[in-house]
Amino acid sequence: MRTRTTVGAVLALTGGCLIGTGLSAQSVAPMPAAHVTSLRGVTPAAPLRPSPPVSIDIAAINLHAPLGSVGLAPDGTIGVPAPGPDYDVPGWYRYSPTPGALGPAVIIGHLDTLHTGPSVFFRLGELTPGQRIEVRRADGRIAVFQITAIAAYAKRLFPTGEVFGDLGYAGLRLITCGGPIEPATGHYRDNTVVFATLVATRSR
Amino acid sequence: MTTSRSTRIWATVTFGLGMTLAAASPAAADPAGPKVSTAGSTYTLTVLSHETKSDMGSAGPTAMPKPGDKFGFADDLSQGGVKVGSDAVQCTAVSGAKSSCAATTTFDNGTLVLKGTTPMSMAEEMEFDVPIVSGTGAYDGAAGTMHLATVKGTHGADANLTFIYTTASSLAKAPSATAAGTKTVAKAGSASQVSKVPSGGAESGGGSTAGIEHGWMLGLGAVAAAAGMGTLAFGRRGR
Repeated sequence: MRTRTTVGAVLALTGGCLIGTGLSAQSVAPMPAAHVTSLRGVTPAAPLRPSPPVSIDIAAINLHAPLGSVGLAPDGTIGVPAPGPDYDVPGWYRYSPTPGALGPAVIIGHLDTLHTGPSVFFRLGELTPGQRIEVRRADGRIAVFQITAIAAYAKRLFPTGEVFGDLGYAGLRLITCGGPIEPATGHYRDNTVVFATLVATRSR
Repeated sequence: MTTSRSTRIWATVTFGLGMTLAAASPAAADPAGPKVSTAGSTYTLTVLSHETKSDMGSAGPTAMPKPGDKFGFADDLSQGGVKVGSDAVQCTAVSGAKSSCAATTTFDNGTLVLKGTTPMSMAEEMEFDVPIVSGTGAYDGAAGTMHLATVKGTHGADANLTFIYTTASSLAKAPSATAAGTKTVAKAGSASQVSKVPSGGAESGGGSTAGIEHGWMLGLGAVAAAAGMGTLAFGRRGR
């Protein structure tokens, strides 16, 4: 009788531990609470000449990644890193200015994978205005951007003009998915977009 | 097979060398140069490249170059089936998977010079970017990037090349940065600095973190907990 009780207790305890561990290990993507904007103290630096980006560093969320490039998807939306070894490599949109050059440079990365959890831009929603983003370029220059806004938009209401519209300075937009999964489509409902302005440059 | 292997290696390094071809005189080229689209200060030039010559150097045509090996290629460039220019590429392998390359692309109205590190592999399909570092003639002061995508089924002999660049004269016309320049210059919906504006949002997530991420662990835990509780209940009833 004592053995049966002991076995039952151990099983119940083990089950409880597994459930607790499973729940605590669940990744929850941070989302911007609202459209947060702060232009305080932002003085745009002079744009650089174009040069392809090589890597991106965002110390605030411990993100350090090489950069690939993406084009347009067949349906006219912005391309995303394809499944495969480079799925977790964010891509510079090659029809946008190169980061540091005049205009809105665009970099897109996945929020998560199909089966294995968070991807490279999982923590993008944690960022707040004032934090810095550094992009290393092929010409050896490092473009330093300051975040001015972060927002979540429903994809069907995506503000194309605000994200891709012309600028009088060198800007940067980081894009990933966000919000809940829509049952009808199986895709995330929203996009999280980080807006940043070039504030400094330096050599490697 | 020998040809396909060498051309596939070539395709991965086409733009990385720098040597103008003596035979760079397009027979039927438009003297005004290739067709180029303009968006704001940015030009986009798209051509199809076809290999005309390759020299795999000491590595020979059947092996991957070793670090330090030098090799080169040349291509004809066309638009709509009409030759508009040529390129010459020289590379030095820096590792088993990368080479340092320089290329000069020659059109009737000037040259574009590219330089950078490119991937090197036997893969049938490859895509990568190479920096545009300078230019002459109509491309004076060019800077930007060239995207190479091999054409499927050609074993790397053909590739679509997209040059996206600014020039000294195009930048001179561009708006300058100002301290007050933190607002969007264009009205919402218009964009010329982005040469191809995507429509709608982006599908940049797989969904693995949206539901139950560790279902096996939760399921196993539930089974174990139920079994344990059942055993305890059965034990109490038996007393």
